[in-house]
Amino acid sequence: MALDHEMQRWSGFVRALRKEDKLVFDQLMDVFRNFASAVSNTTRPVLFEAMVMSVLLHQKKVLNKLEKMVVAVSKQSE
Amino acid sequence: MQFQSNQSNRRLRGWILDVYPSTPRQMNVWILAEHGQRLHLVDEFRPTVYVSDKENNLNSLFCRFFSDSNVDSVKFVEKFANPTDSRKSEVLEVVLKNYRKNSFFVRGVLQSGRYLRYRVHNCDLRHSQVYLYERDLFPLAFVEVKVTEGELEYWLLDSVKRIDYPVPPLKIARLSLELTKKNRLAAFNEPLDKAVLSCEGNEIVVDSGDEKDKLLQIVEAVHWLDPDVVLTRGGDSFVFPYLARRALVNNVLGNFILSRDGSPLVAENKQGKSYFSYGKTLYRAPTRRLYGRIHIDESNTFVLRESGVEGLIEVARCCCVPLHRAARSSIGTSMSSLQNFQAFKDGFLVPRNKHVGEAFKSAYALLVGDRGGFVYEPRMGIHDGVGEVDFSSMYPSLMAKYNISAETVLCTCCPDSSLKIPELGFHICKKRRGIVPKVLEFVVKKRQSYKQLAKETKDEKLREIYDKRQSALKWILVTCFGYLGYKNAKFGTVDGHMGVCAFGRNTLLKASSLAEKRGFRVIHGIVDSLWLKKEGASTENYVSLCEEIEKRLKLPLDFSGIYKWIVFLPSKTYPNVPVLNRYYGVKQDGRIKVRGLEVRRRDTPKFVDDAQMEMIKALSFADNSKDFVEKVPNALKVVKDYRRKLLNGEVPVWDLVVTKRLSKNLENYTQKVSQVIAGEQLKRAGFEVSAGKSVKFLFTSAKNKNYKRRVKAKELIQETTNPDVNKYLLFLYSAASNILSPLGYTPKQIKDELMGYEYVKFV
Repeated sequence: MALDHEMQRWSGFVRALRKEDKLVFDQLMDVFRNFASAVSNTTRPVLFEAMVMSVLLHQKKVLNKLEKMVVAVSKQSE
Repeated sequence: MQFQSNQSNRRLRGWILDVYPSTPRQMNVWILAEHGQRLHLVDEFRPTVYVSDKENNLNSLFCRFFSDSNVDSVKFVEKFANPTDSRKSEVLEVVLKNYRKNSFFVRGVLQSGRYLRYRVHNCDLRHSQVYLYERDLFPLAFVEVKVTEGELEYWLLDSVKRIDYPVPPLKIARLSLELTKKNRLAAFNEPLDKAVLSCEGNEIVVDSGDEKDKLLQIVEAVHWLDPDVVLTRGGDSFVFPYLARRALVNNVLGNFILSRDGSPLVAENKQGKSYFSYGKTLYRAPTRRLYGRIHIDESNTFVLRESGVEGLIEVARCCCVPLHRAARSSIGTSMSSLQNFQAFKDGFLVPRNKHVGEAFKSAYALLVGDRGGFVYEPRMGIHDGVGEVDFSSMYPSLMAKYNISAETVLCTCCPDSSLKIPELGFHICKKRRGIVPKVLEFVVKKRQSYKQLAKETKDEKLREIYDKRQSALKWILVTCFGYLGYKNAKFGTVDGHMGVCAFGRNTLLKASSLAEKRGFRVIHGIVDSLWLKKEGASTENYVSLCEEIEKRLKLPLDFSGIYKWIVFLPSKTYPNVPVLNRYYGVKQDGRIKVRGLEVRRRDTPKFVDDAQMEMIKALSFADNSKDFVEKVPNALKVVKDYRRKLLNGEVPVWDLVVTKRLSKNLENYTQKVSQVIAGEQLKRAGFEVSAGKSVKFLFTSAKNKNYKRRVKAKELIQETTNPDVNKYLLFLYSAASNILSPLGYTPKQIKDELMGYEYVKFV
């Protein structure tokens, strides 16, 4: 509920986005939904803080994964 | 058999079958004697209410009661007037002459104190239950009774804690009717065609003579069979109101006596009750009683449906609720009776209204405290070798362990208590045990004993009995947490309710942390269950983990098995986001577990239900996720078969009937949704349709511009009625795609794939 409400607040921003950007925005929101339980457990009055933290965490996970892949590829090429 | 006065001072042994008040000072007690007789005893009973005064000055009231014609006696006594009181206070004990004047008297007292000064206690309890509470008895208790002049004296030879209690030999009969229907709907003006009464292998069919004869034959049959319990389907809403109406029409209402105590049926037009519970509007027909016998309407009972007669007896005994009431009432009502029973035992008075309000909280405290249980979003997709562990009765166990009750959370006696609710910081009493935890401790322990006995016994019948009893107790435990926060729960507390959630979240997080320390990955977690995975983990590893968690957290944790594979499904709205409680999987022992799919929904037509279950069974032969993918064609073959059956008209229309509940009265709907259309059809045909009732219908032409033709109510289906095949195909594809969505299937893809199979045939 709170998540949907927060996302609703960004509807103006989304409306002004181009189609390809809207898709990326939706992906970002999916990241947020994937961390919904952790977000609710932070109990922060400003939900946007938790949203940003979720996205940061997800990006770090993706970075770690890419880093591992790069290491593996570079080992293979050596 | 009525006990004769010359038989006074006689002692007898037996079970208490039923208790109900009749004349202003009398309580009727039906005893099922150990030698098989059914005895009607009458005891003196006068209701007692208590009055307390906020200003501690009850003298004027005492003088007033002294001359009150409704009052039999009045005196000062010491009692715990409120659940939160740690000391007894002086209250007035008022014995009334007539139980029927109870509410009139209470209103008078409250008005005289302008609804602020005086508090009246024990005034809204059922008299039959108070009669039992006061004597420390319970329904179906085995007792010895001494009949003295107008009074009964009891010796309880039983205990509510007993798990091996003897069940009385109840004579159970079933009554069903057939009407000479001119229309398709059963109506009160249709004459009776046939009545069937079956009991212990005897079957009496009443179908000869005119209607008057048939009605009198029913009376004879009931008296000849003399059942203790009469089971009906729709007895409250139709069978007995109908029989009473037919008896009235035939001028035999005065002789139409089915009860044991000689009172005839009443032909009154009582309205049922629509009520709202857990997001659903429900309907309950008024109770039709056969005094001296127990009438149970199978379509108006939750406990009997879930736990059978054994479970019903268990609830009646434990919660001290007469059988006919236990069958019909919600578990919450039984739960409050159990708490009232405990309050009586502990010397507490039961308040008329809940007094313990919610503590003041800042917005931030509410943000922190007012949350539910903790969940881990599932990792979407198919997983191999996942183990499931569940805290058994987590919330009730927490309530019992941490002493959570209205009178213990934020108590006034020990504000420095070290026992605090996490995150909220509210203190919990350490000096006294609350009524709610006392009650729950008893139920949790009793259920554990039944579970243990069911495991140990080799006797199949006994195992079934223990299972039904523990399942009935499970429902009490399931509802106890919600009931703690219920606005009318007299021993409930919103702060305690929040506290249970806080303890629950804490417990799940601690348990998952302990699991992760042992190398398990948390795949999913909901409130009291965890799905864990560790490469190569065996049953022993999981059991050892459960033992460690149980030892550390002091809460019972059960290992419920390892899944060969389990599928966590995505949200229908956001395909990249997982949802809780939408999964299915097969355990190593072959058991299938499904949550949140069509097979679990009540409104799913049997045809779709069967198709989806058969698909899951086709997939259940897979041993792992790789195998699962290989079995997908088999599952699609199931869909293909069901599609063929539907197209060839081989599916009976009854298997296509959809059931929906009306959440409001028909006139309050703004949209003509399918259940409203069907409801309107039924209403036009003379059927009673109200909020909370379920409506069954068939889609006949779902997209028809004339909304009246879109569906047909089940009761109005004729041989010429045809289903809307396309609508049901859509249901089928949707159910199939839900199962296979992790592999990227959509309803359209399912359809395309099936069309591909049958392309040659259909072109």
